[in-house]
Amino acid sequence: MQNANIYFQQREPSPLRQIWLHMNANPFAVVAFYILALSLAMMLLSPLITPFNPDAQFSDAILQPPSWSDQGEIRFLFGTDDLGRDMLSRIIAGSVYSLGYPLIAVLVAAIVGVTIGAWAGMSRGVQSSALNHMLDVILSIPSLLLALVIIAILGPSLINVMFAITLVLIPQFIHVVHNAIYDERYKEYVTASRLNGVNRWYMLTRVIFPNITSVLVMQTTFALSTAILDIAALGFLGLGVQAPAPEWGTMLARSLDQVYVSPWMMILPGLALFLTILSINVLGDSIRAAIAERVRNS
Amino acid sequence: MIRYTLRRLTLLIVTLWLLTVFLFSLNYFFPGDALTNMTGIRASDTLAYQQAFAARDFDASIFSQYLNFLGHFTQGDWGQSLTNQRNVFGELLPLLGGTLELALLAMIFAMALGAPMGVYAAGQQRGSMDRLIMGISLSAYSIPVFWLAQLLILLFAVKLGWTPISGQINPLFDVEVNSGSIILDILVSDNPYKTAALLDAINHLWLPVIVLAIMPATMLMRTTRNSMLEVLQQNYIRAARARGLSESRILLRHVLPNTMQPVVRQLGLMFSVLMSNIIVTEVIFNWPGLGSWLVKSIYERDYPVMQGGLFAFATLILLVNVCVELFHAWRYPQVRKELYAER
Repeated sequence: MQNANIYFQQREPSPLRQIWLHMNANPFAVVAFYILALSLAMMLLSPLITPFNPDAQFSDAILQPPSWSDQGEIRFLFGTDDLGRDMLSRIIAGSVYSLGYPLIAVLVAAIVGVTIGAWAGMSRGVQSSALNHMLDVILSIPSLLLALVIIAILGPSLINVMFAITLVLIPQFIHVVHNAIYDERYKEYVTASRLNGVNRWYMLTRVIFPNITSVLVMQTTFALSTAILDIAALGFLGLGVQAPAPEWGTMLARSLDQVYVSPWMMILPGLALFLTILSINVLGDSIRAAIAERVRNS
Repeated sequence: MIRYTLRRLTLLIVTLWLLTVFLFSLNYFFPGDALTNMTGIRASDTLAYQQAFAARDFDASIFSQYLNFLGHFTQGDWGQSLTNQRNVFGELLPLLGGTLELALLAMIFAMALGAPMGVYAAGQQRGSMDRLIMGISLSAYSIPVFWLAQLLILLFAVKLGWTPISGQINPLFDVEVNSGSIILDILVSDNPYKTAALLDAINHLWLPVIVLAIMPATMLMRTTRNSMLEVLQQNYIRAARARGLSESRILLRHVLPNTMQPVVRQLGLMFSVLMSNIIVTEVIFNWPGLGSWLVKSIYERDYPVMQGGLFAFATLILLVNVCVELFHAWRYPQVRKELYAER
């Protein structure tokens, strides 16, 4: 590109932009990005694009195989379940529960966790080391088990599951942000700003924060795949989203005793879950590779 | 090393103590009567309830209630189940055996599968096999364990009919439950059809073990590959090449031991992942273990059992993590040095 500036000026792309450039070079990451974007669009438009109401029962078409099978009908593209509900509508509507709700949980957890983590990272001494020890212990216990404890206290329902998942994700964010700030604290550019006499708020938001966004993005993708998996697992165990709601994990649980009659009831929601998680993991993995590359180059 | 061990053990003891405080407070968080939640004795059983009330110091302050709870808890008096009135601690031990059997076998299988594949992939760096293995491992890592279990059930049990899908063993073999681990139980029993029972148990066992092993195996594969690539770039490997050592000697004596260092550190995390998967897997395969017991207790609101299950799971995970960390620090002194220098 022609440099239109008169003065010579080398522009270093921002950390986030560097990752974007690196990801664009990786075809798998691009595909994963499109799949994720597609499922997000599907989630947002789900009330408009479902062919039928996800709870509507068609008593004339119970256990209809998908349309590509010989007994299938094009009216029900993905077939129907044992109560005659259209699978395609249920899978599209289920994305609200299986992708939308985890997104909200991750967002809330990120806001709370980043705030606490930033506070802990900027303060030093006993309180931050005690915090670190506590977090190490909490993080060694799997998130599903922690969520189970909270569900056990509150009882199974959608709201409680959201609450549990959000609570479980917060320590991960605190840990990551705290460590990231800790690593940056004594780097030269931070010291330079400190010598300039900036206040703590400016230091955090303008000096350190832009340099840890990439770590934060990686943690967000990781948290998102954990949240999706945990909500689906709780739904599967019957402790999460309750039965008539078309959540993918709950649909899988329903198919468990019918897997030999109607395998599509199990394969299709599982496939949706798998593709979503896979695309998020591929994205997270390529972000991790990009960060490693950036560290190596600097 | 002694200082490090003491520090870890102190942290473990403090954590376990905090866990008991948490368990005690759970009795008050759970809906219903705190004493019933703790002991499993309902208020309708007036005599037993009053005895428990006196024995647990429930008329005293909350602090002495806790001390009393701790005393009962450490003696293995974990109350009785609300649904079947059985002693929770006595019930727990065989289930722990069943879970450990599954977890150990899955862990061994994951190591046998994951580490060699990782080493092989690192040897073929950026080759087609490397890409293939890494692609498969990332996809397998993303499969939710409950879907994987159902897919394998569909394939092996429904389509091919190779294996039963539920329970530990055919109930026709009347094997007495001692340790809970089915293979050990068969070996110590005096059943006349030992070999047949053993074969039947293995037939029940292999599918859940594979389901559980896939995720840790993929994690191992990736860690092994990345750490081996890191090690291969070190100067001491170049030095070993310069000394004219054979490739196999370099691999076995210099590369592999150093490769295993980050892998060992990850074992604790892998075990945690395995434990959260085992809860779901036991429910699917109807395996008599801690996970299915815990989930059942949550359905039934059986609070004494729930506490026992949670404590057992948390303790198991913490213990394994501490053991892994201690082994890691003992086996790799350079890690220890970093830990001391950090302060």
